[in-house]
Amino acid sequence: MKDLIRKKSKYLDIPTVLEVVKERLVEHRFNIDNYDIPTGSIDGRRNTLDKVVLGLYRRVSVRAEARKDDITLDIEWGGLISSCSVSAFQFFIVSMAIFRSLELQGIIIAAMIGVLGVFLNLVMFFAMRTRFIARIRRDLHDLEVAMKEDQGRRTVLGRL
Amino acid sequence: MEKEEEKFPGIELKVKKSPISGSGIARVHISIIELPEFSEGKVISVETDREKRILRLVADKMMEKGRISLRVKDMEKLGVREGERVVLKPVKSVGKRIGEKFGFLGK
Repeated sequence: MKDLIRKKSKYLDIPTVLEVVKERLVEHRFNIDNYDIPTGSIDGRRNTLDKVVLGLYRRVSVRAEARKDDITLDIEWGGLISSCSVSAFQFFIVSMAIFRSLELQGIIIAAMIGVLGVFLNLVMFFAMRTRFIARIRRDLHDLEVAMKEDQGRRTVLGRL
Repeated sequence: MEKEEEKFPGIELKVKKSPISGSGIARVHISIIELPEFSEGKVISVETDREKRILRLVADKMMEKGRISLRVKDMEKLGVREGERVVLKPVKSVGKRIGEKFGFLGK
């Protein structure tokens, strides 16, 4: 699943934008696997034990590209199939334990609850994705304003 | 390790205001996470004489050495302004805290 964020700005550059993305990813409990400024890429995974067990494993890959007066963020999400499988399995097993006395009917109910688990996982994924993108868009705007105001006084170091 | 953490007095850093909204993140120079007490993405404690905040640590090369970038909400809660000093300290993990409290069980 892909998302594209484009921002017209002559003040923003790749290192600054990548820093914002990295900060937001850490805020969303992602572990950073790769952070490479020259290639403009960040790869992160939400792979702590609790997140994997709860079926909240996620993977994200961000590529930043700068053209003249224009910066583009290409965000690719992953890990959805594995996390949905974990959710479906967990919901199914728990439901089976509850409804096992109903035999075939119990299995059908448990399967339906398993599907419900997948939907719940998808809702949580879309909520996180929407919130993340909205935050990045707002950050790019805030950053542009801050850099416009401080133009000439700020050094490259500690720009944020 | 516990004794090392107890001895660790913390690192004094100058506050820099982050233009990013929200709260809960502290950004420092990459040299900080080279210390064994700190690692990226883990929680740390940022303290002043009066207040204390538990934040998540982010590090990169672009940040100036000896400075910590805090978000406005966190600065307000800590009661600090840009340029003032705070102390960065490691936070013991839940496992270690439980181990300390129930250490007698292992004896």
